[in-house]
Parts: sequence; structure tokens; C-alpha cells
Amino acid sequence: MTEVQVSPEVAGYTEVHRHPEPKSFIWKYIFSIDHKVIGIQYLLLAMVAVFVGMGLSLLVRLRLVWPAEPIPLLGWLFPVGAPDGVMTPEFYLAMLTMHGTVMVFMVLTTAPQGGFGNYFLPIQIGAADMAFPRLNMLSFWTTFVSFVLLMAAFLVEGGAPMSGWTGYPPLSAVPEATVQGLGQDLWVASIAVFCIASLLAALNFIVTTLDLRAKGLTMMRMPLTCWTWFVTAILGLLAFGVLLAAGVLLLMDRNVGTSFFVPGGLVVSDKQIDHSGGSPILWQHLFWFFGHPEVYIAILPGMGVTSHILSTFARKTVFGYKAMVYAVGAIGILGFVVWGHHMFVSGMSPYSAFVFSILTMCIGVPSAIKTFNWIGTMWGGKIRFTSPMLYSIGFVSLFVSGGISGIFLGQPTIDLFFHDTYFVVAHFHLIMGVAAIFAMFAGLTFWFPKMFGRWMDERLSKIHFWMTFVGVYAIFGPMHYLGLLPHPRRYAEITSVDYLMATGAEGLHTFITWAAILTITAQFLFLFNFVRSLIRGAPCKEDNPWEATTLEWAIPTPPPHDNFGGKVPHVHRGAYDFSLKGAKRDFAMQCNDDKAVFGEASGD
Amino acid sequence: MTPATLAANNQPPATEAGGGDFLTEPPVTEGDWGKRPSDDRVVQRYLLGTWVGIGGILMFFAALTSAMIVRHGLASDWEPFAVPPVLYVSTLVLMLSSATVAKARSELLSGSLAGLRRWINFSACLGLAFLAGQILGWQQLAGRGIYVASNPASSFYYLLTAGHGLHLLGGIAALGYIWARVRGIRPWPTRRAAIEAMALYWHFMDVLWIYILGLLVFWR
Amino acid sequence: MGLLVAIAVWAIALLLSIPFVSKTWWMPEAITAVGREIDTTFLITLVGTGVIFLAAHVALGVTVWRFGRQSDKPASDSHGNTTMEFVWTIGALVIFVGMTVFSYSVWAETRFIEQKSMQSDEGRLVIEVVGQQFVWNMRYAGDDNVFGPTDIDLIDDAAGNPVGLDRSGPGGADDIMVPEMRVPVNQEVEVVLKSKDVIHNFFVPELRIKLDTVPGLVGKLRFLPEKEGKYEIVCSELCGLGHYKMRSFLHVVSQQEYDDWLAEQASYLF
Repeated sequence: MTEVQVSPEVAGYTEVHRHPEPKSFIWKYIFSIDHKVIGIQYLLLAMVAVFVGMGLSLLVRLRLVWPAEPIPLLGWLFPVGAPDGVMTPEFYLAMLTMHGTVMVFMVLTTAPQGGFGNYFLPIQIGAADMAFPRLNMLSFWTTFVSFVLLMAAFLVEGGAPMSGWTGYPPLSAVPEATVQGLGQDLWVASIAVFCIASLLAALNFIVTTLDLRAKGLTMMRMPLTCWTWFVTAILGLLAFGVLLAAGVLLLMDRNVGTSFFVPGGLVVSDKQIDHSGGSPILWQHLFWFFGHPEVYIAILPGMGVTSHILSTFARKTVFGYKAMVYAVGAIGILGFVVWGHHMFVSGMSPYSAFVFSILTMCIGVPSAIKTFNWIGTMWGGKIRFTSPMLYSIGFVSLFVSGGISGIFLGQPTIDLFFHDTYFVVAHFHLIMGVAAIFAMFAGLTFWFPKMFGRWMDERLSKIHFWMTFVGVYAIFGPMHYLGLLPHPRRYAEITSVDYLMATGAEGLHTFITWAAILTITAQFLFLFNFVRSLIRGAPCKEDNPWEATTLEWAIPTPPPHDNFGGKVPHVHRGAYDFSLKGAKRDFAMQCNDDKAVFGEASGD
Repeated sequence: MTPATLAANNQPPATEAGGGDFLTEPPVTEGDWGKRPSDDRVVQRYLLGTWVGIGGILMFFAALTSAMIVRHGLASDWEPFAVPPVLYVSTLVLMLSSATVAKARSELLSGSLAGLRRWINFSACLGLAFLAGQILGWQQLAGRGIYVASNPASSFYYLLTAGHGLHLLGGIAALGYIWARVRGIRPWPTRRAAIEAMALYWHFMDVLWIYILGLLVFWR
Repeated sequence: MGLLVAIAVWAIALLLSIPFVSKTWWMPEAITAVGREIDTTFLITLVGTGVIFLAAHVALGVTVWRFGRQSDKPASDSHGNTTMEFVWTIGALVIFVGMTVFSYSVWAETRFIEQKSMQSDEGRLVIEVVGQQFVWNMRYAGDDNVFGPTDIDLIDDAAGNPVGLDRSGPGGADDIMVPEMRVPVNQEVEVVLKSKDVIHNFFVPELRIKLDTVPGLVGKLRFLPEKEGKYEIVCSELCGLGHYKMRSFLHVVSQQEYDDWLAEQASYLF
């Protein structure tokens, strides 16, 4: 085992046992129990998934604007769904369903938490690995199985499911109501398996955070990234069990003949359905009890990464660190009591709608605190416009834009009009999709040198930032106007709605599709940058190229097998000590003691 | 993991410190039952992990319970039935197995590997007997013409018992794993932690079953 | 770079806001008093959130611009400001919760239909709407004001009986089944929503209200249209491959026209 040099930054450390490094390829890279390898596996899975999901969204956009135009190769790929390359309405719905499912589960849940969380949580808290490394490996491979199951839905007879990513029964539960067959079963199975994987991962994250922190690293000294991963894990632990239960019930309704969600007396296309007494609303409650926390599972780690990066490149400590921690906690708790706002128009009691509405509005408060503090963090700073910083500033803007429309949708009165229109599509894409993705871009460009020992091309990253930043606003901004018309969601085409044809929805759709094409092009630029930088990016040899403060910057680049080489640094200060008065440098690493920060004279 | 890689060093164990420092201590040997001071940390971690896992499992069964209560509340097709009497026998079996698991744990703490193995055997047999009782219960129900899809009451019966049975099967697998590793001659640093965690999980399975039985008997 | 980011952020915020002011793409005119009240709450929210949205982006731009310039001054060593944090929190709470509390009366008006009625029960026109893949079936009770019984075994789309109406049952003989809804102006209407197969959603933009038709449940909507015209009913809950073409019309006509139409429909029955 090679000896790892302790960074000169480290003032005091604890010797711990080192685990032997696996030698064979399979144990080192495939069934690895090293959290860093698993983190990269999660990231690669998410990257494959995000390009699949993006391709699906492109098909959706093309179908909306040119419903009758044949698309090359598509007819060969999907002879049933797109005969001669022209997409059928049911194929449109299948693409839309799979887009949502792939993005929500395989991208927004895996990359921020499973990817970056796995890689950096142990390092940032000074641990050699996660609490249960084998369980960690199991989580990833279970997630992988889930992804394979989901992709298999494309290949079976009847094609991919078409009941939306929310899978409302009876549409999802009664095969006669759609053309889908096995595809829907695979979809439910995939999600159930994903739930198990996420539960195992959540367990690991929680124990790791509580039990493996380095000496001196109290909870209130943790980087905000760790806080958000921790709270996200708690949300996952409490939410995924519920979705798993719902998935099992739906699977039984579909295959065993039970009636949990399917009511009696259904007649589909003149055919009586043999079920009785179930409640479609029950599924909605179970699903959204998971579904709303899921939104925060996707966005919370992004908030953490943004806080982290804004502070680092503004050279200033996080404004109101404690308020940020409390806000994350408050969002986590409130996230569990607002699921009803997804069901304002499903006939729920007006009293409960009012309660859900007030609780929903309360979530705006911690969100407002976070925005205020992000701007406060930059105020008085000395901003360095690196690409991670640009993405993080973009995140703040997108978070505001996407969050503000929630104020409309959280009021049942206004939701009566906007529910299930493009206004909602714009809202959740901006906040849960694009903002979260921007945080991931920020994280990737920020940590890339540490992870791979090479730099990403800064210029390409910046071009990508500008194209994407403008592009996503061009896509999702106009969707608000479509929502005003009002344009209902999940319409394969608009030709059968007179007022949409009359009010210029077509023009907006065309504009959005071109914006989507531009934005998607930019993503290939990013992919090119990523792959090229992996292979021949400029080498990064420094431990701490960004002059940041947290523990991952106190170890060699790229991190060695056991992270700290058996010598875990002691932590002497909070995570964001930038520009301290009287300090020798404008940053003080968590492993620096006061002597290192202020010089010998001030020693205590 | 060989004793060589577990080389001792002279630093005192920093018990208040964080990750992984438990191994900076003398190597584990046969005849050592996990009583080194730092083993407590590993035990603590495994127990914490088990408690967190219990939280996740509880959410799963809480969701099923709420679904059952809601479905019961709005159903006209709910046909209550008496649970098969064999369930009361298997409940006793499961409670007994909790006692034998506790006994296995105390055998470990008093240093008797043979005793540990013996009581693990007992516990696994009792666990399997409980599962056999559950299957017998299903057969008795099927004999009465009550199947999974017959009506919501029976659906929930089969679902809850199968859900609990699968979780218990996990506990039996853990017993088997521990049994196999305790037989081996190689020292096993997390031995005590694994057994403590398994015991906690097993007791939880016991409590969970009593809850489910209560639900099936009283919420008809 | 700071100025560039600032300008981009400002420009985006401005461009996004302009159509909300110019009303280039806008909601259709509301045709009920409740609809206009909903519009008022919407406008209040729009102004409130618009101010917050623009202020946040102005602040973001100013910060990035001002503190992104090269200078020799070190970053300030400030850890936050509890007073500002506190004031901001309370302010946000009051604004956000205030909005929803304010809109509560309108919500009550649209949804508490059992308790609160715009007119007495006497004069209300009740229409049953049954959604199915991918059409709306409207049923009028006819002269006797009684809906005939339905039977699932009688359902036969081809024979023109999509809801399984039993013509021989009490009150069933004169029920009128039509694909489009026709109501007299200034007449309170109660729509009883049902579904045969999956969840649909009954939405008329001009009424500003929508409600899911959930199979196994009965939903109720009440409205009082004040303006004659032809309005579209669009399905607003994913209901299958024909979701996008599941629509019908709400015709609001004069009392005379309505009576004539009703008589004409009734004449087809016998």
C-alpha cells in the first residue's frame, strides 16, 4: 500500500486502519465497495439516463410541432409506436411518461445524492468510506437493475407505459384502458426496485453522517452539502417506503386481480371490468405522499451545492449558516405535509385543501430565506466568475423563477385554472428539473479536478452555461403563457382545441421546440467537454486548486483509495471560513488550526 | 483481513473521534468475543443502522395500514373473516424465537461460540417454523375459498403476512450468515455488532408481527 | 463578466415579465362572477409575485455586478444578520400565507357548494356529465326533473346508450342524452360529474373551474354563466391515447333558444 502524504494544511489527525485496495478489475471498478467508485458509477448511470430522457423530450417536442413529419430512423426503432417515423398519439404519451420517469428517478434522484453525495459526503466529513460499504454497492446495483427494467419497457409488446409518470389508476391499473401491457408492469416493478435501492442508500447516508464524522466536526460545522445530503436521506427513508407499498398494491391490482385502486362498475370501450370497490384517490394520496418529498430529494442537494460554491467563489462565508440549516430542515419537514396540493381538483374536501394550501405557502418561507441568504452570501464578496460559480448563479435565478409560480399553484383558487396546464409544466421543470440540473453542472465542474485530476475546459463550460441558461428560459418561460391560454398538459397535439389554434399556441410551441433543439445541442457540447477533459484535460496536480475550505481539498488529487491514507484530519472550524480578519490567506481550511490561519503570534 | 494489516500502534484509541478509528487496536483473535473498547463503536453503528432501517420498514407498513384503513372505510365489498387459528400458534413460536435470539446473544457475550451456534440454530428453526405456520394459514384460508383477490380484507391479509414473512426471511438469512461465519476459524471483527444488530432486527420482527396480527384480528 | 451576468439576468427577468403585462397570451374572459373573483385573486398574486420576482433578479444582478468587479478590497468578514433574517422570514410568511387566506372566500364560494348556494335549490338546472374515453356524455333529467336509473349491463355505445340508462325505469323515459352542453344564460347550473372508465377532468376555461371525474365517485360543480356564447370543454386529466381530442362544448344561450332546443331534443324521444 502506498504511503499517502498528509497535507501540510492538516493540523492534527487521527490514525485509522487502512483497508487493502482491491487489485482485480472487477472488484476495483465493477463491484467496488469504494464510495468514490460507486459515486462515479451513479454519475455515469445518471448521465446515460439524462441523455435518454433528453432524447425522449426531443421526440415529445417534435411531435407537438410537426405531428405528421416522419423522423428518420424512428420508424425503424419503433415500428409500432412510430410507423414510418410518424409518432402516434399513444407513442407520444409513452415518450412523455418515460421522459418523466427517467428524469425524476434515474437522474434527479441518483446524480445529486447517489453520485455527488456518495463521492463527497464521506470525504467532507473525514471518513474513509460510507458506514456500510457493501450495502452501498448493493444500492447502486439495485438501482442499475431498476434502470434496466425501466429500459426494458421500451422493448416489450405494447411498448412503454403511457399513463404519465404519476401512473394514476385506473388508467395505469386497467390494461384495457390503454394499449400498454407488460410495459406498465415493468414500469411499476422498476420503481419498486428503485425504492428498495433508495431505502438502502438512505440508511447508509444517515448512519454515515451521524456516526463517521471526523474529530471536531460537529453537526453545525458540517458543509451545507452534507446537511442537504443528510436531510435528503431522511426524506428518502420516509418517502420511498410509502411508494414501495403503493407500487406493490398497483402491481397486485394489475396482475392478481385485487381491487385496491380500481373501483367497481368500470366500463372500458363497452367492456365491463371485473373489479370492485377500490379507490383511485388512495393511489394519489400514497403517490404524492412520496411525490412531494421527492421534489425536495431532487432539489435539496442542489441547494447545498449552490450554497457551497457561492461561498467559495464569493470568498465569503455563507450568509446565515444556521438559518440555512434550519431552512433545509424546515423544507424537509414541511415537504411531508403538503402532498394534498397536487390533488386540489380531484374532489378532495375543501377544508383539507385549505389546510394543505396554507402549509404549502409556508414552504415559500424557507425558500425565501435561502434565496435571501444566497444573495447575502455574494453581497460584500469578491466574486470569481468560474464556470461552477456561473452555474450556481444560474441556479439562484432559476430557483426564484421556478419557485415563484408555486405561489400561484399553491392557492387552490388559482390552481382551479392552472391545474394540469403548461403553467404547471413550466413550474416544476424550472425548479425541480433545470435548477437541480444546474446545481449538478456546478458540482461537476467544481469537483471534476478533484475527482479525475484533470481540468474541464473552462471556455467550453462557459459557452455551455450561456447556451443552456438562455435556452432553458426560452423553453420554459413561454410555457407559462401557454398555461394562461390555458393549454392542458399531455396533449399529443393541439389541433382539436379551437381556442389553442386561435390564440397562437402553435407559434409558442414552435419557438419552444427550437429553443429545446438549441439547448440539447449545448448538452452535447457539455458531453464532449466532459469526455475530452477526462482523457486529455489539463492535469490538475494541486490539492486545493479553488482555494476552498472543506476536507476534500486537504487530500491528494485524485483522492487515494482510503481518502485520507489512514490519517483523518481533525477539524478546527466551520466549513466556510473565508476572508477572516487578520488571517494570512483569504480562506481557512477546516483542518487548519488557529495557528495556521493567523500565524504563530496569535497562537493559543 | 490479516492480523498484519491490523498492526497495533501506540496511539490511544480516540473514542470521541470519527470514522473508522476502531481498528487502531490489537488484532482480533479466536477466543475474543468483541469486547475490545472500540468494538462498542462498531456495535453502536450497526445498531444505529438497524434502527434507521426499522424506520424505513415502519413507513412501508404504515403506508399499507393507512391504505387498509382507507379501503376499509369506503368499501361495500369488505368481507371480514376470522384469521386461521394456526396464527396464534405461530405467534407463540415467533415470541419464543425472540427469546432464543436473546439467548444466542448472551451466549456470545459470555464467550461461548458453541452456545451461540446452538441457539442460532434454534432461532432459525423457530423462524422457519413460523413461516411454515404462515403458509399453513394461507392454505387454510384457501381451503375456505378465501384467496388474494377474493375481497379487500383477504387481499390485505395475504399482503401483510407475505410482507412480514419476506422481512423475516431476511432475518433468517442474517442468522444463516452469522452461523456460517462463526463456524469459520478466521477472526471476524464485526462479529458482535452483526449479532447485536440481528437480535434487534429479530425483536422488531416480533413486535411488527404482533402489530400486524392485531390489525388483522381487530380491524376486520 | 459580472456586468454581463447582471445584464443577462435582468434581461431574462424583464422579457419573461413583459407578456404578463402586455397580455399577449392571456386567459379568456371569465363569464361568471366567481370567475371574475378568481381573476382578481390571480391578479393580486401576479402583482405580488411579480414584484418579488423582479426584485430578486434586480438584487441578484446588482450583487453580481457590484461585487464581481476587480478590486483590492478583501471580501467582508460577515456571517449574516439575524435581525434582517428575522424580518425577512416574518415578511415572507405574512405575504405568502396572506395570499392564500385572502383567496379563501373565493375558494369557499366555488367548492362549498353543499353549504353555500347562489340561488335556491328550486331554480337550479342539474346536468349529469359522464366522461368516458374520449367523449363527454351530457344527460338532462327532462320534464319530470328526475334522472332515470342506470344499469351497467345496459351500457352499449353502439346502440346509443353510453351511460346504461334504463328508459323503462322511473323518470327514465324523458331523459335527454346529448354530446354537448346547452344552458340558458343567467341560470344557475349544477354539473354532476361521473366517469365510466378512467379519471377525466371537466374544465371550461371561461368558468375558471375544473374538477376531476373520478370513477366510483360523484363530483359536483356549480356555476352561473352571465354571457352567451360557445365555450370549449377540454379534458384536463390524462385519460389515454385520445386525451388530446376529448372535448365538447358548453353553449350558453338565451332562455328562449334553450327552451326551443330542449323541446326539439324531447321530440326525438317519442
